[in-house]
Amino acid sequence: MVGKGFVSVLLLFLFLASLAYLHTVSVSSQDVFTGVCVYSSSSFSVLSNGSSEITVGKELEVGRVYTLFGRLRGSRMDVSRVERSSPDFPLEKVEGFYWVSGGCYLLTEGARIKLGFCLNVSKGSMLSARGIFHGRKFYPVEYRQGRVSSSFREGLPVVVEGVVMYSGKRTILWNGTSEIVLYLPHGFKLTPGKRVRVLGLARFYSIPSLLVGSKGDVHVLGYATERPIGSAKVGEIGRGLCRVISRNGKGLKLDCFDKPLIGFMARVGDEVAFRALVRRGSLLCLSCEVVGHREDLPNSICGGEGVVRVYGGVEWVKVYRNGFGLANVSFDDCWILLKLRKSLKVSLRANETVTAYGRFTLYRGMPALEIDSGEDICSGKC
Amino acid sequence: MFREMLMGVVLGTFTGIMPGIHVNTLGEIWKGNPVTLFSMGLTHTFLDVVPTTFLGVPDEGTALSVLPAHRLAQRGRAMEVVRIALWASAMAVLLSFPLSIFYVKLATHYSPWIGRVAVGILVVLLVVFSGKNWPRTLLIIVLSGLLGLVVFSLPLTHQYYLLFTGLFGIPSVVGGIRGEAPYGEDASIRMRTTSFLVYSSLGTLVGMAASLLPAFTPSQGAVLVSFLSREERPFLVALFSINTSNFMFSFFNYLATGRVRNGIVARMPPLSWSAVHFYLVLSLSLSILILLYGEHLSLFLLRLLGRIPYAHLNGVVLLFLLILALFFDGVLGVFVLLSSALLGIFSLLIGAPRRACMGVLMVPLLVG
Repeated sequence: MVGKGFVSVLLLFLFLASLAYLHTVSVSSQDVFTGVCVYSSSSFSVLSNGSSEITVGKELEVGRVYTLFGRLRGSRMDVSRVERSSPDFPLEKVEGFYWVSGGCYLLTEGARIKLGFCLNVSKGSMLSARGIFHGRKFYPVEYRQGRVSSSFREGLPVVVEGVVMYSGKRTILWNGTSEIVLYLPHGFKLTPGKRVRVLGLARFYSIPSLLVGSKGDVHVLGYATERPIGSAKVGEIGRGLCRVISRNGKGLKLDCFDKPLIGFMARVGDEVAFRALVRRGSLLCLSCEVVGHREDLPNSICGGEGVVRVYGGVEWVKVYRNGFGLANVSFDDCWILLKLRKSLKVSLRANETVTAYGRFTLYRGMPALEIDSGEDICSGKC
Repeated sequence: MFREMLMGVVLGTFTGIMPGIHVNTLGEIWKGNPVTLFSMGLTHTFLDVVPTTFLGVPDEGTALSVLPAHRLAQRGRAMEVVRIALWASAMAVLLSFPLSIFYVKLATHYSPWIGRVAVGILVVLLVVFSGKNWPRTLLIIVLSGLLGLVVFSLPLTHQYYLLFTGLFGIPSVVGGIRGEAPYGEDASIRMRTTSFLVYSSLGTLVGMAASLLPAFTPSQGAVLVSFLSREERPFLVALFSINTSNFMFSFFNYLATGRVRNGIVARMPPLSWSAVHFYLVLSLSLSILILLYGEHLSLFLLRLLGRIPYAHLNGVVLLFLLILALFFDGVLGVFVLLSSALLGIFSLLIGAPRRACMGVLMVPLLVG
């Protein structure tokens, strides 16, 4: 009679021997698959090598290449070992610009390739990638990052640096040679005079334009270069101290610059200290202040240059049929004719005292004063 | 529709009463419509008690019921076990109606790590609850775990059949060669109704949990229940409820989330949650139908088997199981079956609890 203990030991021995044999079979008959992880969840992952795909019940990292060892059961593999590895399958090469907008893409001329996962590279930079296509997505395995393009190509990313010239309905940037329209994200505004670096997608409408996807694509670098107004060029900030010589709907005409100053109000004859952005057709006030009031100007009835203040008593007034009038104003031994256009809507009477601001001119060879508006003439010493 | 349902019932009855033939095996061959597949799967869970009790050959869901069921059958309570299985399964179907409302909310919040933690706790409980027997329990858990790790990496198609038949079935069949044939036509359940309802509800809940956690199988759920009752009948009630409830809720999980939790639903086309009402009515109809003929069929089989000398019957069954292993996975399959059987018999000889053999599933899961 064989003892129970002996049978138990024998069974255990036989079991261990068979287990060892099964292990050898398992190792020698293992299936191996190398592929890129194209999907991963907490319960399973999918790997592809571009031509076939395998599902494994493990959580892997999307975009990494793994070699699986185990047992293939159809398109599923029971894995015994997973190793990070290098691709042993053919990779496709794709070149384009990395772009992030509701997903990550590679933008090429004429194509927008969706990436299976986002990369740790700068948005807009040139990317030369090798990887596999799985479905409609591209899964890069290796990539080399280049620079962000600074030349305009339709539909492709470009980075532009320049000064904000206009904001509001349209934001216009001056890059030193030309204007570029920026289409900024909704509700996002830029202040004129700021130097910015903007990344966007190039579009050629009537003028070169840039579609800016997010606020993060706009970097404010500071203000534009600042110079004395005489030497300031378009896209620069000019600073100066000038007198207002006329005022019209376009802005203030200054005695020191040929373009009107807009965005600021002052009276003819006032002296203005300003910092203004030089645009192609105007000066946009960034910070302006009246530093010399016109009331402080001396009485220049006897002669002067530029905008002058004239004060004196009205000797006589003559109004023509067309509404144009002349008033002779004298002070001490000097006199001058005030040209009173009908549009000034001013009427003077003899013996009145009057103060007027304007520029010297001639009327039929006689000294006269050209006045821009009714606000530049008043009765009394004002 | 009625025809598809009947077809499923016939096929499910076949897989249910045949030792070693799992419903998934037929499901792989039979590309029926979802009604046939559902009917087949549900019928199988009602009737797989037959080979488990009469022949001692379990499948994955009933592995731990082999000993208590077979033991009762050899004490003349064979038909009682069948009735317990049929009514516990019917109870699970009934209870799945109200639970399905909560289940759909739970199903979307599962995570695999929950399953791992649950199985980890189960292993600890297995060892701790073994008392002085803990070294043997631990040894069997480790050995069966190693077996699981190796077998799951082999090029096999029916690992579960080979492992469970080897670990639980063959030791019973081998033991039965010199044992007593199952008998007993008295089907009255010797258990209080309240106790039956409590254990069936518990089993249904465990089956539901097992369907939520992909790593947590009905057998592991049965291990959990085995801690609650050392008596045979309450354990069997809970286990048969787990088996059916797990099928029902795996199907609900598929409807709610599209996740595949068993081999039958894996072969179904995509279905939406709106179909749940139809399948609930179908499951109720199937339960009534199986309750009507299940006992009669089992009694017929019991009488039939009773005419064959039990030692010869077990010899034939053993041969059949080996041929099946050869058919499924060739010589390697037979080798795995015999290796599993060695461990199953070894665990019986050293007096380790049978549930320790569940390490075959638990260890590979914990190891990942």
